[in-house]
Amino acid sequence: MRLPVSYIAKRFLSFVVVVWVAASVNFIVPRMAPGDPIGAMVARMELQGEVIEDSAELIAAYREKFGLDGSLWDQYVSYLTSAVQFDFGHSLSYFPRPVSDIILDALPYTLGLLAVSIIISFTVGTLLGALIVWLKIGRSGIGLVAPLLLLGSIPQYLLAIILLFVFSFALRWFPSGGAHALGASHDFTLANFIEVARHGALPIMSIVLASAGGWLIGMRSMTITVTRSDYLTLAKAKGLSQLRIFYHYVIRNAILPQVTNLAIAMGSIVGGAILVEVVFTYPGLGSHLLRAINNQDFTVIQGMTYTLVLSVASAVLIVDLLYPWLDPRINYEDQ
Amino acid sequence: MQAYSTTRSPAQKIVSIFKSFDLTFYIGLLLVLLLVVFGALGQFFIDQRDIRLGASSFSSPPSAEHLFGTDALGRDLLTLLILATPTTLNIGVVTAVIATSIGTFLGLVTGYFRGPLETGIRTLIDIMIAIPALLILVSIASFLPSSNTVIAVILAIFAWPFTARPVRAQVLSLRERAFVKLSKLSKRSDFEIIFFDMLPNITPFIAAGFVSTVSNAILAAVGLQLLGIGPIDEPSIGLVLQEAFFASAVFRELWWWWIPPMIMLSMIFIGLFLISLSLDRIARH
Repeated sequence: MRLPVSYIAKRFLSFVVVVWVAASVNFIVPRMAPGDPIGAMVARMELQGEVIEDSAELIAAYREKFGLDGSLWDQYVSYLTSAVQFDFGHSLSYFPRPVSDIILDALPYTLGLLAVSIIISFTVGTLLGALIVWLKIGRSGIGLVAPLLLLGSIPQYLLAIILLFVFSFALRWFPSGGAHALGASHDFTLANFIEVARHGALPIMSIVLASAGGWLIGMRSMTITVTRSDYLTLAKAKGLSQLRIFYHYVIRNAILPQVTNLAIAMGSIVGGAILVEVVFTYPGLGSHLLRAINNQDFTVIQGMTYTLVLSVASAVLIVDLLYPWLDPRINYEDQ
Repeated sequence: MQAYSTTRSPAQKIVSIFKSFDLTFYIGLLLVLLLVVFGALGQFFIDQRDIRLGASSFSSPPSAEHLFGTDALGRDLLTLLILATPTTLNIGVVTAVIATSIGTFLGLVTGYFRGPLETGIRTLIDIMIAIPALLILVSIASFLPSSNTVIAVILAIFAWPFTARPVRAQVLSLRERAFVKLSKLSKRSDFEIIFFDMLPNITPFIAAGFVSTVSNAILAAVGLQLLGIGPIDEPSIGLVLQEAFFASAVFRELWWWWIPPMIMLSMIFIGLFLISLSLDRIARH
């Protein structure tokens, strides 16, 4: 495969611009309030009755770090530099704990939740979509998957509340929140693993049930297109085995637009997942974001949103960079 | 898809449009219309004083006096939900009107013309699609007090590329069609070709996009409410749900508080999904 340099450069440019927009919004928003940004943040927080210990020290530390005495342009450059270095100063409500520290505590939970649910929903949805067409399951098949499609139209957070009510409150099968049993050690034992799985089950189920239908519809219509193609008729005429045709000819071709859609959907999947975390008080970025919002802890809110945008942009970049390997036919000069 | 025809009367055209819709469409429409009627007609039967804090007894289940019960602050939930419905639907419609207008116009223009401006807008569309709007909104709304209108406008700023990109793709393929080439040969102006030849042909397509945009905007607005940073100046269905959820209504068995807003939101999302599914099917015929 010829390395499509302009394609890669374009994807990187898009990545950089998206992250830059997120950092710039974070820079501009506190400056739209009167006073300097840290003063405005602290004032907003104290207005809500929150008490900040060492607030003078905190303000001094922030002023120094982000050069608030310099010109607006200097402040902007210093802010962007810090953002690149993943440095957002100190938490307002847990001063002097650095924001990045709080984020790194929460990030593994969110990434784990997202990775598991995306892999399950994408695989199950895609496979079902292809099988419905391939096995010629007509109207009755649609009847079977219709509930999945309807669930797919409901936001993840609504589904999460329903699952919380049914499986945690009414049936008591699963815990209602958290990621570990209370007071459990974080050692890597089988018992702990089962507990973590039990705590993750409902959040994962919410995301999977809400998104598998979308993957199913997309794959179904692509598979219909592929089954009408000439190369498939040829493959059948050659007498290749059904399994080989299904895997190497049908799935291999029909899955390509799904991968593109995965990159496009990444933002809404992540946005939905943080709300699912809120519903289940799952200790990832979403729950920490909610706590920061309740505490009016703006440095943490900013760090969280920036991290989430960075995660989305990175995931999109990875999918985009894997795409040429998956589909070597594409003409990158046009992209 | 038929090329635009002027031989039929407007009334005939409308009748033929309604004939082309399937059952899915009408079920979806019914779900959404039920809520519109609930929000519109309900206004005549309510008294704003019923949603003052402590207007009635706290957390009382549905009764003859309070058909939907009251919340933990003593507000009548039926009144609250009637007032909330138009707000929630409005956010979706305002966002979709702005986003669809801008997106359709730019999609048509960049699909039809070639040049540096077209390349610029295309690049802008590609980048904007990659920006997670909800997360940017969280950053803005957590600091600046916002109204539902401001939220709708911000959502529209991030939503138009999702209309512009597919419209552009449609125009690119329409350009190669015979009736467009014929129009060009007959010296119709670019303006006429874009708006009178091409636009009518992609109307079902744009309508499907409009409905999805309404749904996505409401989804984001309710999401903001759940995070506790949505507008609180007027009641919305998301706000009622947020208050119920964070007052632990689910675990305190106050089902009348959290189930009605859940059902109403599900009706909106399922209804809009069915409508857009049906419109999508018409567009691809």
